Amino acid sequence: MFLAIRELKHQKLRYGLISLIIFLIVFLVLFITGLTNGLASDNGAAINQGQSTAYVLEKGAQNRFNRSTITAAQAKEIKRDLGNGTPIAVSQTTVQKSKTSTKKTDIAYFALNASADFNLTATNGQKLTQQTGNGVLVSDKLQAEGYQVGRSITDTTSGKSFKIKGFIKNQTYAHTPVIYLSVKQWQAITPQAAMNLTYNTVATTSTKALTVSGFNKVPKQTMIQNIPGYSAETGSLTMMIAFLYIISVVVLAVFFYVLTIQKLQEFGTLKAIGTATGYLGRHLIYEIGLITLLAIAISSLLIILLGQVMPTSMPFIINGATLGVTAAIFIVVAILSSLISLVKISKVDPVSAIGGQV
Amino acid sequence: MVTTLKPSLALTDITKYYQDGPNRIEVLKSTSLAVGPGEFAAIIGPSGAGKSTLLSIAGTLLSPSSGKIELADTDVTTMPAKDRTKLRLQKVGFIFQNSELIPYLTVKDQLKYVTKLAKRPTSEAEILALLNHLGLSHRLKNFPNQLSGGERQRVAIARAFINNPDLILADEPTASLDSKRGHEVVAMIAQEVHEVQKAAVMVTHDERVLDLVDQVYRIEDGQLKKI
Repeated sequence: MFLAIRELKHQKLRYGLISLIIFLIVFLVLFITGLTNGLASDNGAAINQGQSTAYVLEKGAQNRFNRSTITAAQAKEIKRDLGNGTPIAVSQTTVQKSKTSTKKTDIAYFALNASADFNLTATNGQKLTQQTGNGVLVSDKLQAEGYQVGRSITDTTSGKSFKIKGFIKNQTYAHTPVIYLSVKQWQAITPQAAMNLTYNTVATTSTKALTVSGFNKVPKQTMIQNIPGYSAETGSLTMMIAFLYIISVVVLAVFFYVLTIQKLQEFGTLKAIGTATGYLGRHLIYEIGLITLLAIAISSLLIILLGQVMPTSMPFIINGATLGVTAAIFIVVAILSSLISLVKISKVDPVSAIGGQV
Repeated sequence: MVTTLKPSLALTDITKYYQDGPNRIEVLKSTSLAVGPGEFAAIIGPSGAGKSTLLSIAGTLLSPSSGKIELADTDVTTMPAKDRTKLRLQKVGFIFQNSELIPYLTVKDQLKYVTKLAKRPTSEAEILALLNHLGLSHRLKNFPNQLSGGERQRVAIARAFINNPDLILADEPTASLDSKRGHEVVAMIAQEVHEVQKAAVMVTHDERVLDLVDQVYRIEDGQLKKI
């Protein structure tokens, strides 16, 4: 540490620049990670939140709600088999503020009869189980679109209106806000459902295996990953992050390798006056480590500040755990990048200090 | 000043050769050298005569092809590299041609670093006293690139002496200095050697400083000759 701190202090520009590069990379990684988390949450939040741990779908539905059909009778049987279950009809459509407004908003209806097994609470304390008449609870994402509690919301297809009773946090499905309807409300706006009621899934908190044939019980996480677009979105972002890690390894490795080569004579002298190779190795790792830590600290701070000021329309979620994991990976990256230089340092012959030759 | 004490450095029958393709180049041919405490020896000779090789072997930086090296009563001929590094730290002080100071350490830190390496409880006062003795007390916080050539070499001398080694090895310490400053620097080494009774070997081209040493050897064709 004695040498490392003094060298970093003495060569502020040189090490400041490399720290700047690492800072930019760490910042970008954290930013993309935040977006990935935000998008992932935006995509599947309605499935992820709430008490349900699994969803029952028709076999062959490939874990997609819209490909699964469950009749009322089947739903009853599934419910009996698992001990509990809430049949849900999911449908993606549009709403508007009133019949005459031209602006439409994409939404997803989750039609279900709430019970103790499936209940959600709005920010103003309203609960799904209290949903009566034409009052509905909706995702707070609609708030950003200008919808307000007490105001109406009109189903575009049927022209029927509901009244917003409260906003529930983080209720989105495939990036669209979710509107919770009771089955009765659902039937009121959907003639087919009124005639022949079918559901798409049965949400359950049961841990029992399903014995009803023709259906699968799918864990929550699998469901989220199969939301249309989810894997494609997170996959490409994850690849970007992986590449950024690789780029940092290469940048750090090349930079320190060039520096090491420049300093071979100096390392020779240090060895000649009695510095052990292990000490020089630690010296290098301390330097890389300190630079990386500085870069991580500054970028984490900026990301946290940025997270505060990001608009709600831009999904961005960063938390302590994510920061910790990213920092840990970068420390590993830093140490990996020092390996090539360590080999070079270990091969420096102290005799090179005598006679001035390298 | 010839001493009857056990020599601080004893090289016996040292041979060193390099393989150059099919040819074997003998740099040193059964050379022996003994230097005792308080003795300052100089080795002169033409380029390529083996001066640097001999110094590297004496400083345990290089292993001889055959022969025996004893440093302060310790036989180091077959010592593993790690132990030799440690021994070098405790028993040998080097003064290099271009001083070879660490560019990012201040004058004081140059010395502090080697005392830290040696894990010797050297007090700040001890470091300051030595630097003061060598006329560097006004340069404590300066970096090597802010010093003159003579000052840099004096810092190198201080660095070589601070750990109280048994043997000082100087590799052309006057090479980058003019004759006046060169003379001063060697005088300083001689003074320290005599004051604290250390053995010292200096390799040099510079015949003008030979009046300051106790014993002069000439190396020619891999053989040492007393002059």
